[in-house]
Amino acid sequence: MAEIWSDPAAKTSRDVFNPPSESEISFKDPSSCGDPECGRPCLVVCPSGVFEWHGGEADPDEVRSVALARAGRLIAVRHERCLECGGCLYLCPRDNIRFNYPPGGRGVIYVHG
Amino acid sequence: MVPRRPGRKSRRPRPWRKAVRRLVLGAVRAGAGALLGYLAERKPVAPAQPRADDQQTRASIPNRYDVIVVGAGPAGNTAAYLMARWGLGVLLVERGPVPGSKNVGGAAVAVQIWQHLVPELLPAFFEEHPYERILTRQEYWVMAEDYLVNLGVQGPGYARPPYNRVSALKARLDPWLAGQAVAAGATILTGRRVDEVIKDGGQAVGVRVDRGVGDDGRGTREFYADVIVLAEGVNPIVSWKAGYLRMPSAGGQSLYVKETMALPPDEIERRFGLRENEGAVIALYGYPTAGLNGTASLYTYRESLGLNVGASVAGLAKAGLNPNQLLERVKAHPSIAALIRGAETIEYSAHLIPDSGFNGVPKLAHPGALIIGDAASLVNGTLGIVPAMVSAKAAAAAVVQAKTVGDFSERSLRQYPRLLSQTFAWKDLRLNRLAKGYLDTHPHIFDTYARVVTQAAHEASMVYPDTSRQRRRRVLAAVRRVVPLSRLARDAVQAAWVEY
Repeated sequence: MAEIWSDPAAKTSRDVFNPPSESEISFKDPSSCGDPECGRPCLVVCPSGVFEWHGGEADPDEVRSVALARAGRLIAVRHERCLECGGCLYLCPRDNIRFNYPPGGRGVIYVHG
Repeated sequence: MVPRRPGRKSRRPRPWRKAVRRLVLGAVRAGAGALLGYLAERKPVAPAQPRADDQQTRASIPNRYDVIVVGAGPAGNTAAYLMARWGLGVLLVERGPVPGSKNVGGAAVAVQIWQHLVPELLPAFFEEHPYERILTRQEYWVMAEDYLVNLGVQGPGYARPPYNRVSALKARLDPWLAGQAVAAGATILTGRRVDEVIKDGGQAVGVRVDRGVGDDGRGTREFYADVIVLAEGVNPIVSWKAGYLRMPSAGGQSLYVKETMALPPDEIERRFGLRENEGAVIALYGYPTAGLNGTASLYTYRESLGLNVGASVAGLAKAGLNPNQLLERVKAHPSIAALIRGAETIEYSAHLIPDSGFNGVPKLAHPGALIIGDAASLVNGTLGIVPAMVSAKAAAAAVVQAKTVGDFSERSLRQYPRLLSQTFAWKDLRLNRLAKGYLDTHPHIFDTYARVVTQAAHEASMVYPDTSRQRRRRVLAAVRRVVPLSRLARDAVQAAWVEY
């Protein structure tokens, strides 16, 4: 049970979403994510795990591939589970994350708040 | 899914059903509130009528108003309510399907503040009950790994008028307050995201909204007004795009996560030692933020508990921590685990709180536009939404004045920051302005002094076969193991200087 609850993505299964068809969250320059020097805090800090590592077993701190990053195959953006806190706007050391709220009526619907 | 314990009543979580029920109930409550308000107090002044030159719109609402409020949160709702009550034609635009659906809070409503700002709302507030519990127990826990020091006040006196604080859920409080604005004559447009401020030269003259769910694309998207009141909340994207402010830095925001957990009311009352309808709020320091400057708190609602924890975005990134890890750690602390045992998680939410205080407040008045609430960094850790509502009232008064003289220039709207600067909330924010810088240069000060408090208290509590003088020496030694006395004295002087 501890493993389930330590995964923030599992917790968001308790929430109500009306996901938008397109993501309002994206990387301004995807190839920039190919360099691990930023420390990739987006993979760590996002409360709902929107930024998902696609490098498999490889250590995010080690993998260096501009090509994979440009193709969007290094860090996936799971916008459908975004809790719209906006933390990613401030997270990226390279200011490489574009964030906007989803269109009106879409996204997370807090029932308790 | 979480495995069920044997013997537990079978109850599969059905978030959709519950969500729909709450949305419907919220709409019904808002509608009932509007009807009651309409019957109780007919407005002598009708909202602005659509002009002859307005475009034919598919939306059934006019597209011209005296003022447009962006965001139906505490600040936006308060401003919309007051301006509508004072006779202006108000359009309140909210991107969520229902006000509150995009908001997260502790939260606590300070009754004395409402008495000060919107006293006429209090009778309905207590009758219609958009709050959760009347807080009769308020505590501060300084926590170590396996013990804690607590201090607080409690008693039935808090459950009698004039009251102090009540706990509230944003998803119930916001729609109620928006309903009051509608009852006072405001028009509300939900499920529409404001995309940008429409400007004529440098003057804000309207807003452009997006299409909204189910819109076939032919509905109007431009709405015009003399003044735009921006109450967007902590990520003021529209204000930023309009060039009214700079987005804050990672060090200027704290990231909070919250878990709402269901528990039967009588069980809540039993565990927290409460009478019916009474509530508790516990502020948690030390252990919960794992060395970072930040806070955590535990709230009781009518049939659930709320546990939140947060720290600065920069601090979390530097430490390589996900805020959910902090949350799980707090939940596992024996003293917290005992209080939340068996409570099923019914919501997980995340929200930023502006951290810069006074130093983060941008230019508040612009040609045809004002910024209020979290969007203007007008928020306070202890006062919560109070600065938002105070700023809303000051802005509302300034807009009414501007309308009276027909001057919507920046110079005229500067009445808002002028009025705001005379309020207790502004003065308090200003008095605490050095605290942020102090915390930035002392990133572990919360943790250091949490350890001083807990270890000193723990040492003082232990009974050994020694004299009281020897015990005092033990306590002092425990303190010095955490921080040398010279540094403690220096920190105390600095903290006093910053505070006073």
